[in-house]
Amino acid sequence: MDWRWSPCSIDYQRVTTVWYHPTATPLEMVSNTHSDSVELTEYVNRLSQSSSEAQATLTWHKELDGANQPVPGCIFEIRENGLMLWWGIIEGLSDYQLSSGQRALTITVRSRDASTLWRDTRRVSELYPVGTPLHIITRDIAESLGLTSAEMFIGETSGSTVHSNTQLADLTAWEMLSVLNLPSGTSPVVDAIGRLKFISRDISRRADIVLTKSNYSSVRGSKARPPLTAIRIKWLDPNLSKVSQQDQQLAAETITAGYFQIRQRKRIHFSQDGRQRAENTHLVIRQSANSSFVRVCEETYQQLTQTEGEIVLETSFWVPTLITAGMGAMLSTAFIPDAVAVPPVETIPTGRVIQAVAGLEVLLVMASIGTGMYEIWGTPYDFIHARNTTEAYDDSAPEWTEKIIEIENDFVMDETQAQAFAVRELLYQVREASVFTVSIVDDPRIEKGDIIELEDGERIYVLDYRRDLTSGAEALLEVQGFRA
Amino acid sequence: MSILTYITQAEIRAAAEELDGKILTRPALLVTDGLSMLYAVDVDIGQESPLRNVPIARANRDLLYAEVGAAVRLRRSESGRYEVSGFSQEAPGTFIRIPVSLTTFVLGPASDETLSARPLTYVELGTIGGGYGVCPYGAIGIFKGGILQEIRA
Repeated sequence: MDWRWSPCSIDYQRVTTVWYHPTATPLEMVSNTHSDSVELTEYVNRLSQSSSEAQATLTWHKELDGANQPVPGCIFEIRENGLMLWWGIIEGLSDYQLSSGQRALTITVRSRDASTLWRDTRRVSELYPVGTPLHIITRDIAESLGLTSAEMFIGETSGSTVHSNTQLADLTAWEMLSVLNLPSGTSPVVDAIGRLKFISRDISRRADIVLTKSNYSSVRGSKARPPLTAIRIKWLDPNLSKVSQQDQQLAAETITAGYFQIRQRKRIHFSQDGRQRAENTHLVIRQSANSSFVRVCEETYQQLTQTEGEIVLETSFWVPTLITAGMGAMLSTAFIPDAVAVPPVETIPTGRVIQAVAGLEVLLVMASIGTGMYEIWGTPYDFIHARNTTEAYDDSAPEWTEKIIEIENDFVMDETQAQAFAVRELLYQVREASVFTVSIVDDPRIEKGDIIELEDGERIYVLDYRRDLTSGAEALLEVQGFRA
Repeated sequence: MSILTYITQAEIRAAAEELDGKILTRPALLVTDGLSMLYAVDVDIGQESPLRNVPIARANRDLLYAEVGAAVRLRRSESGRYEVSGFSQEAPGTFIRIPVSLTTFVLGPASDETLSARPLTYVELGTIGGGYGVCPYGAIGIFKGGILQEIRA
């Protein structure tokens, strides 16, 4: 509801003036600081206005020729009794007519949100961390449209992002604003004075304006079969779910152990890309490095992180010691002098035997080099997002009429909010099918999203309105909406 | 990662005919000609009923190890048939339904229709079907809102 206005009486007399602003900016219009007003009232032949559009037919003799003529892209303002009623941006001039002594044209004006920048240009938002309030994101999007704080009428919400790195991508600004605020039950609109604000979609709330019978002249209504029987909200659960697979081989490795290295560490990832998590991992020895003559090493395995483990082959200390000692012995025993037997007889020199023993030690150690084949087995698991479904359905709809509309929105915070969202949207979209038109005494307070209550208790949710502001027309407002 | 991999991933993301699902049964042999084998699973896709006998894409041995509850990606063929094409980062979660009276705005009690599957516990094996022996160890129970719907051995 537009609080700048007071309720109008039945004999309400309105004085409408029309203004053209060749240089004013939207911000100057909102803050009422423009200084370029050119009055067009005396040239207006016909004028009508709705919440998002106005049409004016101008006739003149020579006054609006050339540079004085309104041009597309400039601002067109309607005032009622001196107060701004509505303004918009001139979209086009059509029906230009030139006849003897008179010229005429029709101006089509739309509210600022009808522009390509708001409705067609696709954007990517920033990345927002967990816990970012949704009104902050809403403000950021509005600022990306060039709006200042004075041009926004946005309150604070308790809603916040529940996922890390939330980003809106490949959406128009209008779609972003809608998606962000739909779970909390509001839709974006641009009000009569050009501010971005949000209207409630809750049709069960109290009426904003109550009309007496003398306030309205006619009510026309229709009822239609609802176009849907259920609303299904699909939302991403902020809590991750753990999903395990079957116990299986995760990796295989071949390692050679021996005197040449005391400790061999081999890092094992549970997948080629190193991102697979696993638990209960264990070592399966297909072929041991100790399968030759002598046991030379200890084979162990431990899991280091969720995604990797380590196989350690620890060679026994005696192996390098023995080979070093053996080589030393071979060298030192080479210096033992051998005795010569005369006359020639068979002999085994003492030093050669000792040297052979040392050589055997070295060969034994070298022959004990082993190659092991190892497998790591375990249970791979991952954390995934669950996409929850919350459905509100018409409990009296026959099965054969079933028509479900799915809404996917990741700004739902929890199940409670999802249920409220589903119920609210079901009521809204079902009732929206039955259109009502009420003709009432003009009431500039009425805006899109208001609920007006008639004397018989009937409640109308306002989707749009239209007023004829032509000089001499009745001061009536035609309200279109649906029964709330 | 090669350029080819990027292109392949881009195509998968761009395809509209894909679904995320949750495996409800162990892969079972659906059909074989003696040489090649086609395995299939039942998959929860977040609707009231699961998709039955969804074939697993060929040449994907990892999927044959997919345990009950694994999140998988389904791809729809030109003929409208779904096939499990790989693992996914998303799966259907809870499914709650609320009846609403559109005339009185009164809400009924919310019902839990969440599909889930898990191996039956020893207690359940002892009570289902009249005692131990009827139901084999390792049998999978499919539940809707926590209520047992069927058993897959």
